[in-house]
Amino acid sequence: MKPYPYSHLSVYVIAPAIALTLSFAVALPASGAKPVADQSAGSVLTTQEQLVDQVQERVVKLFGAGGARGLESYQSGVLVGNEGYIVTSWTTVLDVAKVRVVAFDGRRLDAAVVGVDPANEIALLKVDDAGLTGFPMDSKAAPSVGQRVFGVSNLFGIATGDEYCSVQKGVVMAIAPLTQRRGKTKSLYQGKVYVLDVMTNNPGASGGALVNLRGEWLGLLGKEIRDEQSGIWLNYALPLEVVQASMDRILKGTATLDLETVKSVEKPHRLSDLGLTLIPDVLPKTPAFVDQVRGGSVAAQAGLQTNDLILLVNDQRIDSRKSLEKILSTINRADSFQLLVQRGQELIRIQVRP
Amino acid sequence: MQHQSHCKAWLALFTLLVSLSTPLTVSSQQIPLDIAEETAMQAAANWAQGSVVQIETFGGMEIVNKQAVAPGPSTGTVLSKEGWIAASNFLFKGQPASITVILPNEERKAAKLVARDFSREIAILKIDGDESLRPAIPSDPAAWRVGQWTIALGKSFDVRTASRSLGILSAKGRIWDKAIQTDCKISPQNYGGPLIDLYGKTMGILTTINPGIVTEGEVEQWYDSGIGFAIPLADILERLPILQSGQDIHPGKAGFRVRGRDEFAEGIVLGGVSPGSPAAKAGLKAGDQVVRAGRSESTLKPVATHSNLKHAMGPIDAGQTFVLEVIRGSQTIQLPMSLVKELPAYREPYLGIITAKRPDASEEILLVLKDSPASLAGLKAGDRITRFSKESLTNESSFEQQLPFWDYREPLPLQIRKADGAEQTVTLQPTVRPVGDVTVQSFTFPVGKKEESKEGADEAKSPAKGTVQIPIGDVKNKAFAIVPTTYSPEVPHGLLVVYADAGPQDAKTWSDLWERFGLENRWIVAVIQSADEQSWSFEEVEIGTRVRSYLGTNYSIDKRRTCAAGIASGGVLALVTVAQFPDDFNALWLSDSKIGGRVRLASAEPGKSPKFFINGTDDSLSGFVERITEAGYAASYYKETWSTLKSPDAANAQDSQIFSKVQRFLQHLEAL
Repeated sequence: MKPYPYSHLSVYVIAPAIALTLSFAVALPASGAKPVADQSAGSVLTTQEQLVDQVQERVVKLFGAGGARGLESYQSGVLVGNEGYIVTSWTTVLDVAKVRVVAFDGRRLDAAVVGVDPANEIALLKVDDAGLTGFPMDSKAAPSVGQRVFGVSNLFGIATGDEYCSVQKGVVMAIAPLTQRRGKTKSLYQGKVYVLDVMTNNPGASGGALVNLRGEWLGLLGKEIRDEQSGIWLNYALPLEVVQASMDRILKGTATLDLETVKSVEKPHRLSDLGLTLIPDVLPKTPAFVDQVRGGSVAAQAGLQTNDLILLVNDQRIDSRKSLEKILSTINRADSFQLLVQRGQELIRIQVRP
Repeated sequence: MQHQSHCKAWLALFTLLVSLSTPLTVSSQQIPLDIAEETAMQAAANWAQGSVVQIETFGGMEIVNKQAVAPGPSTGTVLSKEGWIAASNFLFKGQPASITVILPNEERKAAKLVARDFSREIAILKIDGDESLRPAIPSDPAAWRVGQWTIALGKSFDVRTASRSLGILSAKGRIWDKAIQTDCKISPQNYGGPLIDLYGKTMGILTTINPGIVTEGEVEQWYDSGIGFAIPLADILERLPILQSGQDIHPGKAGFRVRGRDEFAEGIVLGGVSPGSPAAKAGLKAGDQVVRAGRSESTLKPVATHSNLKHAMGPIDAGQTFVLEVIRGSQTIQLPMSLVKELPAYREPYLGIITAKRPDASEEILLVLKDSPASLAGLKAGDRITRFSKESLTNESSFEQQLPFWDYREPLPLQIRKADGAEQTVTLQPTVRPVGDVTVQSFTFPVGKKEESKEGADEAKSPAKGTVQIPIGDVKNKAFAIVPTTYSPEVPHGLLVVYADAGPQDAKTWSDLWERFGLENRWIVAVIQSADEQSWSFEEVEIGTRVRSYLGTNYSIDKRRTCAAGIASGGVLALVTVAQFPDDFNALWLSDSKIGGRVRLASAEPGKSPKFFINGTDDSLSGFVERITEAGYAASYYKETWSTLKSPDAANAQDSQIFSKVQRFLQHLEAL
């Protein structure tokens, strides 16, 4: 995707928008009508072109292992601070002794992997004595939903020397947890991400920079992932605080793989122990309808009735009998849990106490 | 008012520009402008998101037409405090067991699917009324300008803060005037949500809507492609009372056919009206020239092309009135009709005659089939038909064009000129086409008499005869035709286009099998070989259309006798070819194929009623034959295999049962 073309037309088209802003009683941010000061460099950003120039200097192209079985051998990285640190996604590209770094000016440098944070799948690299300047270590900008952003990355590995990384413009579509994943690469990270309305997450883009209209660093572009719930490919970035926490852990040497993400319960709840019989599982998604409740059982005491449809267990969505069994298997038999059931057109919350 | 706010807009822009510390050059995008713009968009979205809800579905089929149907949360838009919610139809294709709506205050409510608008792909849900509900405020369509900013809101990520995708209004009046188009990113996560303007007002509800060129299931894949659709909110609100009563809305059908294939050609002349259809009841007739159309006599608008007419009719639902103004002879008449959801079931009428059109547009009977309606009425070879019902025959309105529009249950009066010049009216009782094994007696085809039905063959050139390689472009497929050595452009030939079973095809084998039939019955047989040795892919349907078009351009083809055929794995391609190009093929032969249980054809219509010959032993075939018969098609079905092709000595195996039967079926295609 090319950067937006700008012309007379775009200035004309946006005129009513600005008028609206002013005619609204909402206060414009003080910076709204003034050139934007870039805190790190002390320079003044007035145009989009200046912003792009400045961000380019802080994004590098990375080349390493891969190239076979559909795995790319390239990605992007973000320079942080003035000591040559590069933060990027932890991928197979980094499975080499030295990662080749190509800076904005075309210089080819070798980087060593300082460390990785497996939980967030973030890696920290370092190049020595190259005089490269990055985003400030203590950057702390955060966007709100609907704000305009730029993605800067070497998507598709299209730039190999001193050419610009690709710049894309869009808005933050949503801020939401990276719930489920299914795609080329799996992600252990399940936390908050910035979902973008622009096609940023292509091969090679992961590890690129997300910046706002002030040129401030907001986060790290993620890997290619498909949203399991809606089936759509997600374009997203990891928020700055997540990236900084990882960098911090790597530098302190405390980054470890948190195994708590895979929960296993030795003695889970089972439908038969609860006294519940559901309608037989015959469809790909058989709804979790209660067929029978055994008299005197835990389910009967909780007030469950025949024909209740179980919708949620502890606020997790139950779209089939299978997903109910799966979620029950993660709850210890001794623990109580909450259900939301539909009875006719009524929604009822039920506490199940063993 | 309008003028004043316009001035204000420019004044504001001017102020903003003056306040910039560096001079504005048109080549630069000014960041302060961007920020101001962003603030306006945020204000609009923040204001509108109070009307947007999350919808969850529980249970139900996951796969519909090989498409995973959104099992995840989606979006809805509040229409009223009483609890009416608009959503996209796509959510409910899997028939979920339960639907819930989560309000912006995170309260979850049980919802009922009340009714659906299948013309606009919008569903209406009902939850209990609630004071906290904030209905979407409609934006005024009169103010919309293509190019203005639009924002698409969704609630699948977060029930409080709506997701935003920014774009512009790409077009108005899309999908036959039912939808507006945007380049915002539209996907399952915001279907059902509002497309808002910069004032936070709702322009339309986002949904998947079929532009008419893709099959069901493909529509959802249009996200990411820079094209998204919304149904104007005003159009939904106008229909709300009907939907609230639990009544579904369907696109309206009229049952008339426009002559010619070019939708953008000037002049709309009706080719015919389906028996029993609203158009027939209103009194529309073949030859009527449509000049204006609209919802009522007082709101008629001029229509110049078929495309204009489709735009006028697109938004009209079944049950609504549609009025056409037509010119008939020297009269101009207005004909109102009430559109319907389904046209009455159609069966093609059959008389049992083989005819040829003469230069004076009369139709000469060449052969009367035994025990046919024509033979019962006493028609004889040599008789000429001069009037169809009360209409005289013309080149524009020939016997062949008018017959399909006749209701086969009605007695048909024909005016006949006998060989001695005497004119008389004969009334026949048509039947439906027999599906049994019909033998056509031999007859002599008069050279040069059927010139009207051939397709622009260049007589100056003498096209190749015998086994001919067909140029089909840079593809891996191969195609060849067996053209009778007696071929001459004066005699239109039948055309059989065969998608062979996947794998290499030997031209000699095919020629040994079909050469004699072609010579004796005036047929060209073309065979297409798959690109891959193991299987066919759907895109290869394109090859069939190229072969049809090449032969139609270079040879004189009799439209009445155009048959697509598929052998085993080629069967599905032949079926798709006939379904997609009903004007190019008049019959279909499926041999030893397997047809999936989901394959369905649109109901038969006048002029779009291909005849089927199906043979094979696969269990799927009887169900398929049942479905197409129900849809109004004449289908001959034999539980037998066509073995001659695989026999080592093909030429000696010409007596195979099925091979003879299919040849008689092809011969019979010439009969009306």
